[in-house]
Amino acid sequence: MATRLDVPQLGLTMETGTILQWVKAEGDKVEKGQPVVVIQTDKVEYEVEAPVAGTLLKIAAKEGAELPVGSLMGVIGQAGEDISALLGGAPAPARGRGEPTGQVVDSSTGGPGVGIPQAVRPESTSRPIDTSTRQAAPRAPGERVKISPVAKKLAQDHEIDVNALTGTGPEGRIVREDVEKAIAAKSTVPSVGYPQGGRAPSAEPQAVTPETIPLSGMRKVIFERMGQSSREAARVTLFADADLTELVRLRQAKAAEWERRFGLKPSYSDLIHLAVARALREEPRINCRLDGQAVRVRREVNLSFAVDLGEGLVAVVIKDADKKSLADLASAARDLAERARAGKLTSDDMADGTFTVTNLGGLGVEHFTPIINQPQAGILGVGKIMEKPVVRDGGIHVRSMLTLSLVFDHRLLDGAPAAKFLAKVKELLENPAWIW
Amino acid sequence: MLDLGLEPYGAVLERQLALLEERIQGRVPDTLILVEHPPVVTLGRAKTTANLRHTPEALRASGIEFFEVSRGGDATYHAPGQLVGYPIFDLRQHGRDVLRFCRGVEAALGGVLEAVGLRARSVPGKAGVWVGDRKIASLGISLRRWVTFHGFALNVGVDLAGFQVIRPCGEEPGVMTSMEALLKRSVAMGEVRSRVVAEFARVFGFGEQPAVSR
Repeated sequence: MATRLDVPQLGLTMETGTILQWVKAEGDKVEKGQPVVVIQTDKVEYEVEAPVAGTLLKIAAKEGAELPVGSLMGVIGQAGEDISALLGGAPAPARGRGEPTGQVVDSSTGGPGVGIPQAVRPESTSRPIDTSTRQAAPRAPGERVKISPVAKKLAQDHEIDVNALTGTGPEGRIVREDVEKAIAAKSTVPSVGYPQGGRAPSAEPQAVTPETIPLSGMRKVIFERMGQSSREAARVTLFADADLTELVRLRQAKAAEWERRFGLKPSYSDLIHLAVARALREEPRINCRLDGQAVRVRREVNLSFAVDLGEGLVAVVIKDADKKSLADLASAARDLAERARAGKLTSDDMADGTFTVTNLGGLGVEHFTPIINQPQAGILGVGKIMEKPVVRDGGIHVRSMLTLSLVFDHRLLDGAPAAKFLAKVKELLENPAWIW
Repeated sequence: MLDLGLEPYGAVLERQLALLEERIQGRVPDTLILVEHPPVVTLGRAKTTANLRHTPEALRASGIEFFEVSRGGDATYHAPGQLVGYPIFDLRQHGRDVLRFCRGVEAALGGVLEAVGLRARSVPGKAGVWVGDRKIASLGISLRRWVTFHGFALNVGVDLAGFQVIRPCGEEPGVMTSMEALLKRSVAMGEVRSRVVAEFARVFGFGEQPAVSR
């Protein structure tokens, strides 16, 4: 059976690879392990070797083309073998440099329950096709699917999503051959599983929820790092309730002014980031890391926070957070979160965090004990702001309360400096006049 | 760590490729080659000949060697006063992430610079290590079966005029700087070597390693 040669995933954040040079030509014999094509990503050049012995039957991407990870570059098989199934299984409209087409899963025509066959979906969303072999017209989102009755019946019988197909019949009509190719692709192309490169599957409404999630890519990194941190760190959690009534009031009062001045309304997360960054500057002992046989307390405050990617998450870093204004912090956080979800982070965006804030308040969580993001020494869990009865001066008052959960590694620092830091965060949040 | 002192590019390339094969076979541990090269221009597989400002013949006539090599990146110039490092690391033991590896190399060089008071940064989309808007170290990594080869070139006290023969990685030659040019004092190559070794050990989690000379 013929074997696909795909753009390999060489790093968690790798999005695309550029074909630098085909070492072999179509029709050349290749030995298993021989370099076939050289690709480049970022600063790195990689020789892609033949996974099997055979003949390079097809070069599907030209030198200079930039392709998403997982895209088809070529096919290796036995001379004379029929590889149309591999090439035409789930065609996507051709688009120059191989951008994801984004039109395959069309939310306006496919409601819940319209399953995208998992084996087809990952390629169909990202595979660029050589323009010379295919003349099919792309379908605009929302446009009605043109399909012949025979093809429609066949697609239903084999659970092929016709929205994911591009017709090769007149006016882009999907004909029987198109469906047959998709069926063949479904049976020969092994499941690729998860979207690559940190892209969130939640962007696609009908994303399949697989029963088996492979321990690869981002899942594997999280698996290993969380396990290691949990095994190594001597975790202690400190809780403190902060009274955010004043902050809530000020945020509401200032919202319009902020919108006008900064063009955005800082969220509670932004306000908490600001308070944490300033507290780290004033109580820096927890802003440290294990460095060989020493604990190094860092001068710079680089604040990490986690961005949920649907399946998986990534910790991004706001550099010198203690020196930034509220508006700068807010826009930096938005920019990082957006680029994280778009899979467009650079190495700098994730490097060298010194302390992490993680916020599950938006999901209704009151308090929790997060895992430390090593080599950092502490992480602050932020819960939900809730109105609660509070006893003060002999009376019961309704106040907006927030529980802060500070987890620190007792190997690197002791309870008192951690408690002082937490008290400083609480103090800043409860007396927010310093913010403006 | 393999400290080769001053050695011509061609000989070190052969040594590097031999070590790469041995590393792939698992017969040697992760190794960092450190070396200085006599003047040489190398052209990566991106091969933008326009970034060579002289023909290979003209270069050779003026005593500069010329090589086309299978690494990432474009035109590079090496000369004494520039510390060149070739990490031959098996990334299967470093998280199988070549981009993270590149960040690690940048972080290690950043640590070396920080120790002398220079604040290094990386520029998204541009390889190498920068101080302000000047480039102080170049990066060109290759990978074969998850083992890295080729590497970095850190300008310690190299004569920056030498870069005039190329457009380094497509940039204007004037963009290049060195530790000595920024610090306005002489910097001992030996100290930089030991710092680089210490920083690589820190970033990539090596313990005390026996240093091998020659």
